[in-house]
Amino acid sequence: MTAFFSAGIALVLLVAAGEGLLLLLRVGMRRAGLLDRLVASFGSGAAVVGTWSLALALLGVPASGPLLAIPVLLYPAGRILGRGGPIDSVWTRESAPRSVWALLALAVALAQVAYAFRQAVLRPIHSWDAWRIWSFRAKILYIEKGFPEGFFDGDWAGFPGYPLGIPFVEAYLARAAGMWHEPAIKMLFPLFLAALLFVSWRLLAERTDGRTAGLGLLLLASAPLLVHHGSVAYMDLPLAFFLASSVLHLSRWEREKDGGSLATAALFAGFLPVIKNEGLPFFLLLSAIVVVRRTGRGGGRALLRWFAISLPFSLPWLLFKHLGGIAESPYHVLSFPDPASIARRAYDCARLSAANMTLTGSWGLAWFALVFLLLPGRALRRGVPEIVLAGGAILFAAAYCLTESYTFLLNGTALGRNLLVLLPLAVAACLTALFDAGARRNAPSGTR
Amino acid sequence: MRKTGFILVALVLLACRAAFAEGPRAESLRFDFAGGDLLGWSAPTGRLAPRAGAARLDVEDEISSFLSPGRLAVDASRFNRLEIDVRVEPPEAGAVVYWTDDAERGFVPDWRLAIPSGRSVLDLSRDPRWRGTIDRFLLTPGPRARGASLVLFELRGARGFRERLRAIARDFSETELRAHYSVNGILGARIGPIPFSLLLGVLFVVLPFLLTLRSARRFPAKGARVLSRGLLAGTLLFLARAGCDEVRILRADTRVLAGKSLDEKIEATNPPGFYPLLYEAKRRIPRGAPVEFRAEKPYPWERGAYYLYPNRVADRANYVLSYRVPAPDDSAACELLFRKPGFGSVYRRKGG
Repeated sequence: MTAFFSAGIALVLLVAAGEGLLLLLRVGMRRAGLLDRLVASFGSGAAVVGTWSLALALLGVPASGPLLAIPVLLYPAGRILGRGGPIDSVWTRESAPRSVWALLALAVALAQVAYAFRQAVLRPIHSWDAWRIWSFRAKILYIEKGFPEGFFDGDWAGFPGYPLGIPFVEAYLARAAGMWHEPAIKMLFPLFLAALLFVSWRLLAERTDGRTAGLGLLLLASAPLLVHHGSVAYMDLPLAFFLASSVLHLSRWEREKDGGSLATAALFAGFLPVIKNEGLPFFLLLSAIVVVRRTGRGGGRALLRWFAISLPFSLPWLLFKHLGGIAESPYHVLSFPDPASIARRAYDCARLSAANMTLTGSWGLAWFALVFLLLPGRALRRGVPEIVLAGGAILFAAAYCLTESYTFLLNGTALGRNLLVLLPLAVAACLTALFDAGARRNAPSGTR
Repeated sequence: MRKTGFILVALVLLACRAAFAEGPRAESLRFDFAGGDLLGWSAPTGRLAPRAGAARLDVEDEISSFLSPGRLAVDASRFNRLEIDVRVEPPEAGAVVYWTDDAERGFVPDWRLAIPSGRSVLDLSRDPRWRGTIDRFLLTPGPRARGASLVLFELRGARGFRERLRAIARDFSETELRAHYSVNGILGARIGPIPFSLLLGVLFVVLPFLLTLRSARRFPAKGARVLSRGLLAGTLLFLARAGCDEVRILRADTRVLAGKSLDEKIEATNPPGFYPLLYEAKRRIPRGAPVEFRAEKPYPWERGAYYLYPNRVADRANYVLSYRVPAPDDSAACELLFRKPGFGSVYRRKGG
């Protein structure tokens, strides 16, 4: 019980550190809803702790408890130095759910998060990649207080080129718990689930209406695989959360051109490459959106702000990995097979994706909503979620076609988790398409 | 709108009909003794003879039984209903039916079910012991039975409306097996031959979508309302099903894991004997000393590397841990530190 309590305190400190960073970045609180802010602080805190722990490890300084607690000083620093007040933030206060749909969706989401939490604290580590890679590396980082000798030699501790962002956060929780207490450390993952559900709900609420957002939340909360990942200590759920958060804040920036949303989006996007290898192309994609969408006189400043905030999170790991000659997983290296092989791989990818979306019990009806993207009379929305969804689908398909990850497509060990990363964006895009089309037809002719 | 409603109702009825429809009639394995033939059945002890439209067994000792012919090759997944009509004297003695998937090995006490005297239908579809290919059966009258008459012994699939309805209800409400839940995907339930999510997706999303499209260029505004309601209804049905799984998984996990120490939890989530062996090994091997871990790859080996750390797994290390594989070739020259019979041993190489 002490381990749970201590890890819980560490989570509170992590959120405080994240809040401190947001204050230092002068991301305004004044108009933001409490939950909105809490979720942003949680994500920001995970990024801070992961990056700080990586810095200690790179410097060869043993990650003791007091050293790991230093990021919490960001909070008083933010309160003092960020006193200038919020910059032009337009975060909207989330309104309390009023419709029956929204209440139903909220109840289902809470029940699913509670289920995931109970599973997380009841079962120790019990899944393959956690044993083999992620939690194993976290356990090593905790025991050794940094990189032990030979950590990146060979694959005895998982593939050396795999990022370490979330394992560092797990090691931080273990340090607080005082031991490698698997259930206490796994408390982190239901929080990622709750945060992802909230962010997805906000994404829809800000693009459509409360009812539609409730429906989207219900669709996501009813996807058993997503809920299952709330307790298994894999990295796909954190990746989905950081991606969806970045998309949410970038959508806000796209709509309002406010610096606070851009800063928060940059923070989340910058941490993506430190969670999983797939995070790097997603970061590049989001950066490309910022480069293209920046307009007007503030465009240059926006670009500067984006890279000034995102690169400190992603560059240390990427530079260390590439300059240090750390071997990449052989499954992630480009191989360029012949055109016939690429065609066969693309066909397999489409066939197996369709089967995974419709014939399994992993998703409920969430992926069936893809048909709404076929609605006629609909102006294709080119919002951030739609672009990232399309880009993500192309990215995963390209990975299967052009690398030896194709093996994982055939043996069914990765596709479901790739779909999980894209699911929140797909639900947002599909429901927006449906209600856009409905609203357009409903509107008096003069208003179209 | 009314037309759409009629079409939807018709489609739901059609789907139900499909779910309840008899598939290609599965042939059954039927031993009907009314014809006065023993049909290859025998008795290890006791006297077995056809009498009055049944196979009559006069009990002589504890092992007097009906023994089926061997090599029946019953596919347990297809034939999961066992219908037996056996009259035991006295009826309260009952009987026990044994089965085996290896007639050479014989019958084991675990694979058996008690049955009452008279006609009964056993549903074995969810019995974890009923799997693979069944070779042979043994039907033993209960203690104090004087004799028994076997009228019918039949293996078949679900048959008739009531049995099929019960099977569908059970498929809907019972949990997936734990093995059906993986981090990469969840198998999901089926209604008859159709995946449940597909059935719901077609009925509540795809068909309403097609029906609301009046033409390629028009999408009525009310279509959005129809579709959102369809999506909501289908999702709630799916959730009801998935919720049953989650509740049962949680109850099972709570029963096995709640209130236990971390080591006990780890032991309970690993193969029997695995974690206690590693735990004992870690007590006997100096912290940080490399260990040669001999176990089958991938699962035991990969888990072992995780649990053994800070002792790294390395080839030709001074300490050797064997889990359910033969000892190292040089074990004769090694010092045995610990042995857990049936599971493995820990050695130290001399000079190490």
